[in-house]
Amino acid sequence: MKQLLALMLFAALPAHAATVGAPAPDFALQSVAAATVKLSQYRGKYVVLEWVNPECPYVRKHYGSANMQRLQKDSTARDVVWLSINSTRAGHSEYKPPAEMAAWMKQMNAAASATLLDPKGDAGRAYGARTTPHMYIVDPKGVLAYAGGIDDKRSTDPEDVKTAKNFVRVALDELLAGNPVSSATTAPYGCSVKY
Amino acid sequence: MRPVVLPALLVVAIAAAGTAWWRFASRAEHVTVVVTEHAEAELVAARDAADPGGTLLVALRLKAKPGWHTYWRNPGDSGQPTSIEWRLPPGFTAGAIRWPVPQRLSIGPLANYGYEGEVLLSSQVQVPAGAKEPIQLAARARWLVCNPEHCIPESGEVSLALPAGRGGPSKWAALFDAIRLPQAAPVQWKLSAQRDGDRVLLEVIGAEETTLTFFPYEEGKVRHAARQPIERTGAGVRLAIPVSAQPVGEFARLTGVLVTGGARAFEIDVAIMAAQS
Repeated sequence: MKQLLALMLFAALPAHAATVGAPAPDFALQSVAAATVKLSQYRGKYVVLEWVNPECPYVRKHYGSANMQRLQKDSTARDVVWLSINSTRAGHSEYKPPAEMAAWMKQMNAAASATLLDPKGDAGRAYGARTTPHMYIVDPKGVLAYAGGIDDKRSTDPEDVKTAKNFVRVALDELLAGNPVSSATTAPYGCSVKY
Repeated sequence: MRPVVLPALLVVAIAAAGTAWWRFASRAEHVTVVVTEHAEAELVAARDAADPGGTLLVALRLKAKPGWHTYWRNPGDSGQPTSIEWRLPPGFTAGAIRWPVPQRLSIGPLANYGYEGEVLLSSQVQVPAGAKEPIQLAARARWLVCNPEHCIPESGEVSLALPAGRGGPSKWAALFDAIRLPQAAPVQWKLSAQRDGDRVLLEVIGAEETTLTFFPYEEGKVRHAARQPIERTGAGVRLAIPVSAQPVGEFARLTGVLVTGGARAFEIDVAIMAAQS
């Protein structure tokens, strides 16, 4: 009964959520520095979207091992824009207000171009974001080039980062070399996005 | 007493004590229950002895605290299935986990497949003909336990010591009998599936169900939280299964569990035909 009510109150993720090969939905979100950031302002560059939640053990696996930060740094050094997005709803116990989210990213030595808050979940739903982490790459023409997991080892064990295939790193290497993405849609894993 | 009787009595006493200890050890079950912050786990068996040359149904009994759940083989939109890493004596082998029928757990626009409360994840264990006591079955179990607020990865080393022999039903036998596994589909059902845009239409000729829910084994194919509308056809029913906007790999077959409104559950494996042009 509870499940039925939940289904009635919240529609499932849209049938027409972003699809690889189709235009990536635009959004306008507040950064933790109180700036309005739109995806479309980065037209002409590759953009990585990283769904994040500091309280999720799968996110902590990638940040605790510095895996995510290393990829952020390497990507932004190649003129790729990196947007970290937190779609946790205000009122959820894991919600982080802007100052707290900014402090955590700083503590982690994150190298995102901007950290965005999506407490209404509009951007998350438009992309069909299901997990933290959930990763997307938008190409310079605004087309979605990758959607899926950060890597191929579903676990909370930081040791697995060493031997996992990092799908995002591989996809960026392929795209920046002018090649097609070999694994354009993969399985994301993590905690549920807390809409 | 005369000196020779005392040593004799001592020998008899030691022999008697030794025999009594042996009887105690073979009846006693050495069991460890792992209690974590959000769950408890133990290894249980359907019988109270392991029959050399036979099989034994063994299970991980995993019970999440109220409000928390663990996951099915396909956890749905997020999460991670429970895993069991067996540590068995030489010659013993354990089969794959037989996953009980899960619940669909909705959370906002997302859905998971899993178990609230207690679940028995069972496997058939082959007992070698030469199995000798002490028989100690052990495993390292890992699970993700979540509630709508948090997700916590937990693990535990569980073990069960058993005597060798036929034995009888164990104290957990009733729990094993209550395990709900999917059955083979009714022989009168004829199943076919066809891709139709962003849906797969499953036809079940010969079915009279008013409610059907499909739980896919394969991850990344189905929109887990979306409704699956059902309509009656002349010969049966047609279920519309929504396909993910970001499907991982080819969606070639519908493999998984069909659950009826009356909570019967059937395993299906149907090839998906291409959309008619």
